[in-house]
Amino acid sequence: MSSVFKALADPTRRRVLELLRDRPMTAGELSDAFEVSRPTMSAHFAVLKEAGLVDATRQGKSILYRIKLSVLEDALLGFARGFGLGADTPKTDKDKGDPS
Amino acid sequence: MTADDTGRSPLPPLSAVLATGALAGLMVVEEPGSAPLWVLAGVMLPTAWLILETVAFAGDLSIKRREARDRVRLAITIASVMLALPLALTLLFTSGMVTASDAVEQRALGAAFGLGLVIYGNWSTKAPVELDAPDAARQQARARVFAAAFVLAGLGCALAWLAAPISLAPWIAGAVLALPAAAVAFKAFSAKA
Repeated sequence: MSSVFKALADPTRRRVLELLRDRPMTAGELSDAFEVSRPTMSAHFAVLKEAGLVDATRQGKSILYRIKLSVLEDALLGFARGFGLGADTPKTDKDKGDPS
Repeated sequence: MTADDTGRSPLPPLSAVLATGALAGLMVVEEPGSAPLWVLAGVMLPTAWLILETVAFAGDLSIKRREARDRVRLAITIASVMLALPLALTLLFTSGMVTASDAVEQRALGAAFGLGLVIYGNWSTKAPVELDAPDAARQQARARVFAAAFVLAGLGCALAWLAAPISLAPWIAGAVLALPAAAVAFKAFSAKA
């Protein structure tokens, strides 16, 4: 359970989960949505996968991420977002209306 | 069976069906008059699982088939836990390890059923949406609504059995259970739409 709290404590990882709630996304698509380097994003993905909150499946050359949140974990995500744990939630390209 | 590194381990469902089988076996000893019922409770899930693992999921599996197998393993685990909870309580009461009035027994079994629904609802969304699902967003949203309905109904059912007057508890719990029934209907109809 501590790995789940660790994963949800970071605003970038929470934002990744929120994006994945909409639909499964590839590592590239997710990385493009944030203004951080790909290695940093890879580290975030690893933490989420370690906590069992996402599933990573290789599809050809890309890795497809799918959300795996239990109801309790989903509620914890909501609480963490509501109480603003960590720094401010990072803006994504999607939030800024940038279609790229 | 060993844990494989490419999917869900068979150990949790194996442990769960073995525990359920052991409880059912103890109930056979405790209540031989109802032996067929307890035997059925003990062998039903392992038999279904064994058939699926050996017939439907034998040999090399594609990613999609492996995920289907993982979903079956998760379902077997949850179903076994849901079965083991009331079995354990029935064993405690019938063996005389715990003595309680009929009302307390009813409350405990009702609350255990509610807890089972909570467990099922909570874990049902741990299986990811199918690969290349055409409407993944919709599927995920539907699964979340479905799971939340089960968790809320389970909590309501458990609370009703624990706190409501015993004469009203079955009615209140029954009314609360209309929520997951509606969720099942919603999921079935929206899947067809």
